[in-house]
Amino acid sequence: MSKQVLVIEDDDTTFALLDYMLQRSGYGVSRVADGREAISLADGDPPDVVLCDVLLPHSNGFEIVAALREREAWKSVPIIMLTALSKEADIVRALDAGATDFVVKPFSMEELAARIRRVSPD
Amino acid sequence: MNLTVLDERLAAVAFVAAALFAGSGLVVGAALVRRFLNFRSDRLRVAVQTTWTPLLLACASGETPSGARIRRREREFVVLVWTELRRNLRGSAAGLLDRCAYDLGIRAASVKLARSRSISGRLVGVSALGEMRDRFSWSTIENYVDSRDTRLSVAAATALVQIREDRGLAILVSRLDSRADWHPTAVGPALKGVNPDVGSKVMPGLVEGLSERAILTILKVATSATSRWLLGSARTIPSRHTDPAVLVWLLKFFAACRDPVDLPFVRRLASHSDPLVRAEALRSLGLMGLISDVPVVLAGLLDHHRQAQFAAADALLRIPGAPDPGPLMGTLPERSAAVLTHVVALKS
Repeated sequence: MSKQVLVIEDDDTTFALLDYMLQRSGYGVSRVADGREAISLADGDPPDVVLCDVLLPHSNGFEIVAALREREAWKSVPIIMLTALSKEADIVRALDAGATDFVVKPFSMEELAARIRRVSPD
Repeated sequence: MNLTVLDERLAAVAFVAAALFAGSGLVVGAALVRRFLNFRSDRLRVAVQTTWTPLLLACASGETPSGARIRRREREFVVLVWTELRRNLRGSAAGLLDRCAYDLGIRAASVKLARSRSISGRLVGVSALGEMRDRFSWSTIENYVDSRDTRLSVAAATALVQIREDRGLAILVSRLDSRADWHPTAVGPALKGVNPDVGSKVMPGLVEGLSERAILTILKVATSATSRWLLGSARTIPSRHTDPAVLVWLLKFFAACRDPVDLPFVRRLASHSDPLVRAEALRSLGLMGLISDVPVVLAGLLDHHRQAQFAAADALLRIPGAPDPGPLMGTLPERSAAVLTHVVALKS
């Protein structure tokens, strides 16, 4: 069975890119486009990997990561933050909130695929 | 006679009523036409996205799509889809997407849009040509830098920086004085996207002789980006600018960068004649957090200006290893002690 990647992203173009790249790499993809909805997922079963944007409606990516990490089942799930924010403080904040890795937009598809493989090896 | 007057009045009323009816009919008609056009445009946009996004994504993965042809009415949307995808990508996929812009006629469509009469078409075309780094469109784009339309002028300046960083940067910086409508958040992406090697080489020469407003715009962008090459150019500013507003933003910028090289300058400004500059310098020393700056901060607590006192109290609480405020209270004048007590209460 293919690994499942949850993409938390409100921008359609970015999601289309990620969806295409992930499906070509053999991952199953699901999407949430809203911060509040993403936090409500904490009660469900976690996916294999999460790709999370920072600037989202209702809740930002840092809050989402912190909320997901509070649940036992989500503690070991790799979460990669994918955002246009590139300041040192943003990266530190993401890692402090519990993100596994941080990728800045514009991103390289090859590099992102490699990072996903690294945090979620077969 | 009376009947004639009545008839004339009735005719006038009837004429006004008819005019009003026709007028409201025109307004309603125009609104309906506008709604129909918006509806048609939305449908076209969705159709283009559905068709072209997978095609372009396949292109970005190295496949060669065939049979794709851009129809005239689709032009703007196709170029927009390409530009949005391109903005998200770097690396090999970005290179492949650039190549397919030529192969699929997107570059040609962008040139046509950039030369069109519609502002939205020009915006889309100019932005796409900037993303393509299309040197052949330089003069077309350069004409729009001084456009009265703010969005078009910013898009043109941004595209020029993308196409040729050194020349584009010179044009952008030269307009910062005259373009009061260029907000730092609008020109920020253009400045932040510059290759640090090019920026650090070109920028110090460009900031020579700039007005306070232009310097402030650069500093605001630099503070939000904390980029190293902008830091280098900002360091050349203090010797020429003594304006308190510029100095306050320089201090904010240096505090954001937290580079020890800037400490002597920040310390010196803690005794500046302007209270707002002193306050910002004290706040910056707190953010930089060096124990060696505690004497400067303690002196700031005795400042006669309330804002500087508050900044000093805030800085004292930020510096790791600084004296505990409790025992310090007794040694301070009443007013300074009250400020420190207030800030301690706020922090807890």
